[in-house]
Parts: sequence; C-alpha cells; structure tokens
Amino acid sequence: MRKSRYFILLIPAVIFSLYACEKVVTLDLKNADKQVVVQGNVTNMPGPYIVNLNYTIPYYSSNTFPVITGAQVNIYDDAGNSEALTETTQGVYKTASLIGTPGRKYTIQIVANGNTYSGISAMALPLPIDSFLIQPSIRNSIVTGYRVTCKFTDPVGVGNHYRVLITSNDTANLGQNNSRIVSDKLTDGKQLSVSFRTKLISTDTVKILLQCIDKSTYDFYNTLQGAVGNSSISQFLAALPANPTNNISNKGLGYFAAYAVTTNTKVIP
Amino acid sequence: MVDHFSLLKKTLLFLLIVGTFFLSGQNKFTISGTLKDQKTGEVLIGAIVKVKELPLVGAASNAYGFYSVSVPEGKYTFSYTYIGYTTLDTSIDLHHNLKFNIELGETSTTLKEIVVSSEKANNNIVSSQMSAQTLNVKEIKSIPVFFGEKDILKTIQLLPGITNVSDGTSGFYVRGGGADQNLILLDEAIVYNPTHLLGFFSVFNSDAIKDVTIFKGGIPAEYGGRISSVLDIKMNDGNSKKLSVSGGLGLIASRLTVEAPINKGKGSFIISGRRTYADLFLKAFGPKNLRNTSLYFYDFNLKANYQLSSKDRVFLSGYFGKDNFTFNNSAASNRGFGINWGNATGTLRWNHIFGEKLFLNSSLIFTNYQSNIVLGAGDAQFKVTTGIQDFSLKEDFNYYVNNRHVVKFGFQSMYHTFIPGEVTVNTASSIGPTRLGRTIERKHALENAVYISDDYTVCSWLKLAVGFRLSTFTSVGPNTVYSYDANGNIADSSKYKNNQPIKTYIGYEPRASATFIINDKSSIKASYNHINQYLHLLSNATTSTPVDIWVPCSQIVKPQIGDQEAIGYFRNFRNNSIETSVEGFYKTMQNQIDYVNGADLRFNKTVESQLVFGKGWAYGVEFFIKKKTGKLTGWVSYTLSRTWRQFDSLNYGNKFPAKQDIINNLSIVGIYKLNPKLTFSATFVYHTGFAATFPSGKYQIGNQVVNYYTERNGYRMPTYHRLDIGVTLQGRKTEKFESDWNFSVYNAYGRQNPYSISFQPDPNDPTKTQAVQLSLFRWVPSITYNFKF
Repeated sequence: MRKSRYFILLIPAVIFSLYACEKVVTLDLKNADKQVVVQGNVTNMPGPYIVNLNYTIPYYSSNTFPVITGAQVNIYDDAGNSEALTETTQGVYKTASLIGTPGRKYTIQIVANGNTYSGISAMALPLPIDSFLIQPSIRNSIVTGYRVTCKFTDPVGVGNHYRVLITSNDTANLGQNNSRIVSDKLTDGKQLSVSFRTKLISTDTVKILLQCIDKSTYDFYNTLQGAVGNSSISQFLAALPANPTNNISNKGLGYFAAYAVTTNTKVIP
Repeated sequence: MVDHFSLLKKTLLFLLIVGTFFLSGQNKFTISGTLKDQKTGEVLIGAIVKVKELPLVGAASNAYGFYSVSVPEGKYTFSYTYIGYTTLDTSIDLHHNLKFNIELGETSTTLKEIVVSSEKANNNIVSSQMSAQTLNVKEIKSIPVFFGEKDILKTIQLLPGITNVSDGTSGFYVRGGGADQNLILLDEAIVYNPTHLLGFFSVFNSDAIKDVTIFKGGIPAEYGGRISSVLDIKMNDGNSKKLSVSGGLGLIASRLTVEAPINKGKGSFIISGRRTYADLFLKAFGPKNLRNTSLYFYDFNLKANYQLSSKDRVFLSGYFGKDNFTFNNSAASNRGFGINWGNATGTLRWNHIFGEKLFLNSSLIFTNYQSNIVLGAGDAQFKVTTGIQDFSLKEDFNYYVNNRHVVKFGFQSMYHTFIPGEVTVNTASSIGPTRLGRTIERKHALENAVYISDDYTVCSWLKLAVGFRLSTFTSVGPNTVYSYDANGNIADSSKYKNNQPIKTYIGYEPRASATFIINDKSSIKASYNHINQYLHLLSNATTSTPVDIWVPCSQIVKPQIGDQEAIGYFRNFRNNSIETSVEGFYKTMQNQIDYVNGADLRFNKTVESQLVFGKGWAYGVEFFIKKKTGKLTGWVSYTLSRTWRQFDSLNYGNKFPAKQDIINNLSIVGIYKLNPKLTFSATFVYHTGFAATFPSGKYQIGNQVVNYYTERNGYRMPTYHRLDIGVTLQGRKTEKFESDWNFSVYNAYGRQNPYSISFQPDPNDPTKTQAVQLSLFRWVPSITYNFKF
C-alpha cells in the first residue's frame, strides 16, 4: 500500500508540470531596412484630411516611430481636382481646400527620399444608420455594462464594405474591441446589425461611426489581425503571421482610405 | 460512371491475361497455411518462411498470417521465423499440395539471455520494399513515453525522415510532406484525425494494436490516396486460447482490455477501452482560471473474428473515440469556448482462400470524423460542425503464382460525404442569428481505384516490385458549384442534382522498386512512386487543430500529385543483429495549397476563393542503425533534409521553407535489460527548430503596434532537444498473473522547448514590445501500473 501513497504524491507534481510556462525571450531578429508607413484618410466630412508618414523601426526598439519629413504628398480625385498637402507638423500632412465627395475615386501620391508610393481608394456613398440601441447587460440583476448596437441596411448588390466604430469620453470602460468590419458578401441587401459589449456606465457619451469603406480598406483591416501581437492561448487558433494586404504601392506599408461616414451620438441614460 | 465500369472490366481482363502468363505448368506443389502465436493465437504478420535447400525460395505471411510457398516435388526443411519468436524448422516430404498451419512460441528472454537465431533474419536486406519500418507494439513497450501512455505515433517520430508537428504532439510529417499527406489506416479504415487532447495523444490505444508499418517511400500499389506516407495499423485479433484481462492504471488515463476465445478457439474477440481523468484533477486542484476547463478523451477498440471453415474467416473491427475540450475563463462571462471531436471506424472483412495460391480479402469499411466548435453556453450556444464520412468496398487478391511471383491485385470504391460547416444555434446566442445562414452544403464524391503489383524475384541478386494503380475521383451532386472573379467574389453558380457528376480526375500511378542483393548482408535498393491525392486539409492556424477542414478536389482545387525517388544502401552486421541503412530521397509535390492573407476558412461556403496554389519539393538523406538483440537494444536515426514551397502569390513568388523544414533531426532510443526484472530505457531527441515567420521590424496603425514581416518562414524556432528516461520493473510473474510498474520522466532535464512564440506589447512597459515563448512540458513524471491475467 506504500505504492499508492506515492501515487497520490505524484498527482500535484503532474499538475505542476502541466502548467504551460511562458517566458520572455530575446531573439536575434533582423533589422529590416526602414520602410514607409502611410496612414491617410479622405472622408465626406469637411477637411482638413490628414496623412501621417512614418518609418518602421526595429522590433526591439522603443515605440517611437520616426516621422518622415519633407515628403511631397498629393491627393487627386477622378473629377480633376488635386491638392498638394502641407506638412503642418513634422510627418503630418494636411489638406486645405479638398472636399471629399462620395462616389469619387481618390489617388494619393507620395515622394519620400526619392521613392514614389501611391494608393487608390474609392469613396463609397454614405448610408443612414437605421437604429442605434443601448441596452444594459444584466447579470444577477446587476447592470454590468451596456451593449451598443448599430443597425443599417445594406443596399442591393454585392461589394459593400463597412467599418463600424464606437468612441466615448469614458475610454477606460469602452474596452479594446471597439471597431468591427463587415462585408455584404454573404448578406447582400439585408439589414445588418453590429454590437459591441462595453463596460460603460450611466451618463457616459457614446458615439457610433458607420464608415462605408472600399474593398482595399476592408482587406487591410481584415488582414491586420495577422500582424498584431496575439496572446499565447489564442495562438491555438491564430492566423499565420503576414503583413496586412494594403493598397500602397512599392512595398509601402499602411493604408490610404477614402470613405463616407455617418455618425450618431447618445448619452447613456 | 459508365466509363469507370468499362475501365474496371478492361483491367480485370488484363489481370486475367497476366495471371495466365504466369501459370507455367511445372510439377510443383504448394505448402500454405496460417502462422499464429502459440500462446494467444494471434496471427503473425510478416513472418518469414524459408526453404533450407532452396535459398532463393521464401515467403512472408500477409496481414492475415497467410503464407504460400511453391516448390518442386521433394523433401525439404521449411524454416519459420518471426522476430522475438523461436524459429521452427520442420522437414516435409512434399508430394501433393499441403495445408500446414504453424504456431510459433515467443523466445523466452527471462533466463537464457538472447538466443541468436540460427536462421538468417535478413528480410530488411533481401525484400523488395525500402523506406518502410514495422514496429511491433511488444517491441516498443519499454520506450519511455509521455505520461506513460504508449503511443505508436510518437514512437514512429523517432524513426528517420519523420518529424512531429510541435512539442508533445502525435501529428507527424514524413519526408517533408504535409500533415494531410499521411494515409492512416486502422484495420483498413481511414482515420482522419489521429490525435486526442489537442494532439498530445494518439487515438491508437496500444493495448489493442498488434503492429504498425510505415511506408515513407516505394509505396506499394495496393495503397493510394495520400502522397507522403502510409501508416498501416493492425489491431490485435484477441486471444483465441483463453480468457485474458489486461489493463493499466496511469496518471493521465486508465486502460482495460478483455479478450477471449469464441466457440473453443474457432474465433476470438478483444475489447479495449481507456479514459483520461486530467480534468478531474484540474477541477479539484487546478489554478482558479482553469477550473472551468474540461479536457478529456475516451476511446474503445473492438475486434472479433471467426473461422467459418478452413478457407473462410470473418473479422469485425471497430473504433470509437471522443474528445472534449472546453476553455471557459469564467462561467458567468458566457464566453465559453469549446471543441469536441471524434472518430468512429468500422471494418467488416472476409478472408477466403481459393486453393493454395489465391487469397482474397473483401472489406466493407465505414469511417466518420466529426468536430464541433462550441461558442457560448446553455441557451446562448452556437455550434459549428465539420467532418467527413466514408463508405467503401475493397477487394484485395494475393496470388502466389510461383516462387518467383507474388501478384497482388484488387480494387477499392469509396463514397465520401464532406461536412464543411453546419451551424446550429440556440435561441439566445448573439452571434448566431447573423451566421445561421452560413450553413454550408455538404459535398459528395466517389473515389475509385484498381491496382496490380508483382513482387518478382528475377534471380539470386535481383528483386523487382512493379505495380500500377489507376485512381479516379468524381465529385457528385447535390451541390452548388461557384466560380469566382479576380476579387474572390462569386461570378457564377450552377446547381447539380443528386449523383450528377461534377468533375472527374484520373490518376495513372506507376510504382516500382528494385533490390540488388550484393550478398546476404548487404543490398542496394531503389524505388519510385507516383501518387494522386484527392483531398486537402485546410488549416490556417499556426498549429494543427481539430477544426481543420478536409476539402475534396473540385473544378478549382486540383489533386495533390506526389513523385518520389529514393535510393538506399542496406547492410547488416553481427549475424543480422545490427541493421544499418542509408537512404536518400527526392520528392516533388504538385498542387499544394495555401491561403490568401486573412483567409476565412471556417464555415465559409466560398472557401475555394481563399486558396492559392503552388508547389513543393523535399530532399534529404536518412541514416539508421538498429540493434535488435542483446542486453542493449535500440536505434539511432539521423536525417539531414530540406523541404521547400513556392507560390506565385506568397513571399513575392520566392521559394520559402515549409514549417516542417527541419534540417537536422537526431533520435536515439536505448533499452537496457539489466536483468529479467529490471529494464532501463532512454530517448534523446535533437532537431533544428521549425521554420517560423518572425517580425523584422514594427510600425504603428492608429494606436496599435503592428509587426513588420519581410519574409515567410525566414526564421527558426529555438533548437528542440529533450531526454526522456524510464524504468520498467517486472512484478511477480506466474502462469496466471503478470504485472509491471513503469516509471518515466518526459523531458528529464526540463528543457523549455518552444511550443509557440508570440510578439506582443510589453505589459510592464507600453513603449516596448516583446517576444514571449510558450513552453508546455517540462519534467513530466509518470507512473503506470500494468497487469495481465
């Protein structure tokens, strides 16, 4: 019977070693040549529209991303309008007169350090928000937060893409997952509903933004997740790592997006 | 359909002509019968029959223990050999065809150490098969194993040319091929997912398994459908001499096996089951965040056989297993996430012997694999089911034409049903309703093959095995078939009715191997095989998961085509007690699949629009030394190899190493029998890390830090190495009862081998990012008690 006692002693030992063990490792990562990162938007709202230009940095550097100064940035539309953007702050380029118009196609052209990068994005037509609902999440008769829902009706015809975001004055309780992308590939012409779970509290302001984006912008956000850090447990199902698919030429990173936006703001009762 | 049948007729006609050609009418007689274990009545597979007076003549027993040898009239000494068994020599004066059933006794290793068999056991030198290994479960039972669970899939990973998928897992890659390119057969039924518990255990309960043969190259024509390897697993038939109960108590699982004769040894059956109980411990003692985690598996093996007459024997075998894994950080959050999956297989077989020379096995086979992803719990549950189901009919003939030709021929017809994703939703699920419409139509297909092969002893120094397999694959309705535009949107769709053919592929698959026997200690072998594979496994996760989806060929998805050439030198030493070999191979793989960036593979009816197609190739050299007898037994295997992939639309069209591109791979297995009671064993594994994609920089989008990748699989995970040790202590052993204790430590020196590496913000310093390595198993001790009475 002595044997069975040893047997029992071994059980906690097994559970101990069952623990997955995480440790921070220092890998010998290559420092890739710095690459241009574009973040540019044109919307149907009044400008100025902003284009940020930065460089990539080595993985183990501090998160300070060097700005690209002295670049020439131009935005054109397909109706013959164009504007050269002015660098108002280092690395931040702004329009002064351009008016974003739904239905037009926009082209950005950037010349930085002798290299030319360009991107094209088409501004979709804006779509009204059918309804904007705020419902308390209740568990054991306690309000644990609010669920924010945006409903809108997809026009008939496949090829519409949306990005729905929520913002709030109470950023701490808004949570991490506050944007979602939707494609009508399988739900053409139907009413679509996008919900966010938040920990917001009464009197917080919540704003919903319904962006009608084009396919290139949708693809960018859809593939962004593969390049963003994942926690280990989610790696069981994580996608293979790859750069997001984007619309910037010449191996440039980032995106140039033209989109129409509809917003609605509410105060949580 | 009509085409297939006429094809079949032509082939049968061809077989008849070939058959007649071989029938040269000499005054020869045939001795045939079945080889069995004296103690249990289990048939012996691959036992060698030799004729002392005629060194050229010999035969091996087939999968049902049947052998047949033809010799001219006269008096001969027939010698029956099987590894681990005492050789039996018998003198027979042959004047007519003779039925001669043999029972061999196990070599007693208890007292008289190691009787070196006087008979030459040099089958590895003289057989026409290369790139193959057979492991007998008895032979591997003292190898130290993970959690004390004997696991044939982990043991074969210690052989040259075979690597695992990630730490502690049972999935495997053969000679640079994909994990979906292994044909895994359990009593002829295909097992689609051979793993339990997220891959850490195999579905094969060793108590129910007799032996395992892996073919890495020179794959015989009787097998088809997977391009990299065949893993042929045969279940025990059950003790036909007496009732026997055996079992084991382990830390992670317990096993129980009952076997007994039916009708005074005319038949027998075996039932074997096991269940893990790690979840019970986790609930009681585990960390709080894991207490709502359940993970367990169970499985059952069943087999029965009955001798209907001296010429007919029927077998029924079945397997059923199920896994459940639920991860639920807090029950109240209603964010439970779970996967459950399981295989079920069934095989009904009928052996019939026509005369002394023709053996027929007919099989009806069923296999079902299903996995469910469950999100949420209770009322708010949302479930997606994926899976595959097959029914097949198989006829295999072995024709022992004369002592120079063994001809195998037959056909197989299989009906597949694919379940790409069926959604079921409970009322309160928030994610459900929008996705309910995403249930995907089932797909159906018919896979047929006819084959013929001849194992031909040309002369004393040359053996040839030539074969041909003709395979066809037809996807049939009901189904809706889509075509896509450049953006991956549906361009057109067409509906097909019940059983209406959609697309047919035909594969002409030559197989050949040659053995040049230099002397009875050494030979050179070469082989070539061409194989079509009509199924692909879709998996876009970093690791293999049970929710990976099998997809059939279609108008868009083409069959995988594998070609392999291999050459090897085989040499035995010290009276065949040491086997060595060096083999080189070159393999090409066409129509490999990968995925567009951000592919949505799960429950996506347009999944074919998410695929990209490319090619792969692999080459390498394998060294193997095995010591079969003595106090110290074991083997050393070393493989130097590369495996590459190239896709127009990935990695800027440049070739890149596949994940399983393990350049150096070394395994050492040692078993030391100190005395009849005490056996020590150790395994050491060392290999290059898996190829991986790591960032070479980073940038920011909004306030999110994004990794910047410059090349696919351009990095390596840290080197993998591990030592496992074990001790087996034989308890008292009597005629009626035997038992042993097995103690082992997996990863004895606690190496933190990487399971995955993730790149994430530093939680202590938001201005930094870090790389975090997840390691799973360090110092996993285990103790198992095994008994048998």
